[in-house]
Amino acid sequence: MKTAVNWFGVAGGALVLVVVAVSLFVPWWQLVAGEDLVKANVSPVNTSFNFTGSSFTVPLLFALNITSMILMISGGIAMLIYSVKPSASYAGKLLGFSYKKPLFTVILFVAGLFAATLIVKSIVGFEIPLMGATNVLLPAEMTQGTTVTVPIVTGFGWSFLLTLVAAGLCIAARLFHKKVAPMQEITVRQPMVVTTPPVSR
Amino acid sequence: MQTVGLVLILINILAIAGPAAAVAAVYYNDPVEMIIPSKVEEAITSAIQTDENIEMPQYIGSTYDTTSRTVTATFSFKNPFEFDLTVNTVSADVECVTHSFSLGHAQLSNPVTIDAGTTATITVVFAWTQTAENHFLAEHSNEENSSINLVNLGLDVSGIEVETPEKISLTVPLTQ
Repeated sequence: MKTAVNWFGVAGGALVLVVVAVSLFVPWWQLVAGEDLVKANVSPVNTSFNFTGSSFTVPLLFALNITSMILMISGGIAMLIYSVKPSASYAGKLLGFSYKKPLFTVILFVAGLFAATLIVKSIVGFEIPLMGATNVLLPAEMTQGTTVTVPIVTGFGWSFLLTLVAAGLCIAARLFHKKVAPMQEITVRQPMVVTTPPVSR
Repeated sequence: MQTVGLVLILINILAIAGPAAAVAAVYYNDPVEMIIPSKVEEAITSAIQTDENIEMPQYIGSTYDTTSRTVTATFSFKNPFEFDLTVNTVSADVECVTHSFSLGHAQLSNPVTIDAGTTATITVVFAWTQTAENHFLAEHSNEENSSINLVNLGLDVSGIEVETPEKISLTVPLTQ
């Protein structure tokens, strides 16, 4: 019996697990102020800050990172299990659970970053771009008459692009499911076909 | 099939509620610590709030070379912070104190890295112009020393650009 496999799901599920592993070390988004004086490494599974050589993390963000990590790992595993048995009775549940996870993570991550930059702008008064470089002029009351300009460089890392690919593959797996599942049904039904014996005249 | 559905729902609930509940339990007595950990305050305090404020470079002395028309001035620059600094550039316009006459431009010869809490010597080279030489010959010919100001002082320290309205006054010896 030929077994149908959702190869988009296999690739997507495996890539989601790779993304989780990579994101522990390579940030999705990074902010650098000055020459590494202040650095923020942000990804949904690992967020850390570095201020003049001292590294620290924020407990609330750490909790969110753990949440994202569990959801992405479970989503990746669910996608892999679904992909090898796309016509199993539980396949639909696994697919529904897993295919949206990377996409939602990307959307929430970008929305969170955008919100964070707006909050910084409203509190401190200067704008941090999501991508690119800018020079931030510190408020005069902070610098006692001296003009202090801090260069800030931000950007998305290749791990973020990898996640976009993983999200795309998972959605492709969902779309491809319609083709894989009926094919499996036909394959299963084949032994049920009854052939009539040759008629002798 | 229902079991799989339940397990998946359970994973969602535990993944969302578990870590948040754990952090809330750990920081139950001090909820602010969940967002602004004390380590952040410590890092900022230790890095920025030093007993001494950052000071402008202090003039040590100067040498001059008449053939290349340059004055090489040395300054001491203290890094009061608990992290290393790199002085990438120092630039200033040089003017005669008495006549506010522009004499030329001074800049750092080479970038200098200053370790945390230490003082380093930085070398600034001032190339004077022919106009500056003519000014000295016309206005300061009988003087042994001349007072000059470094104005429009700009520094690039570890990527952070600082422009200060402060002046640095120097007295440099004059040669005939």
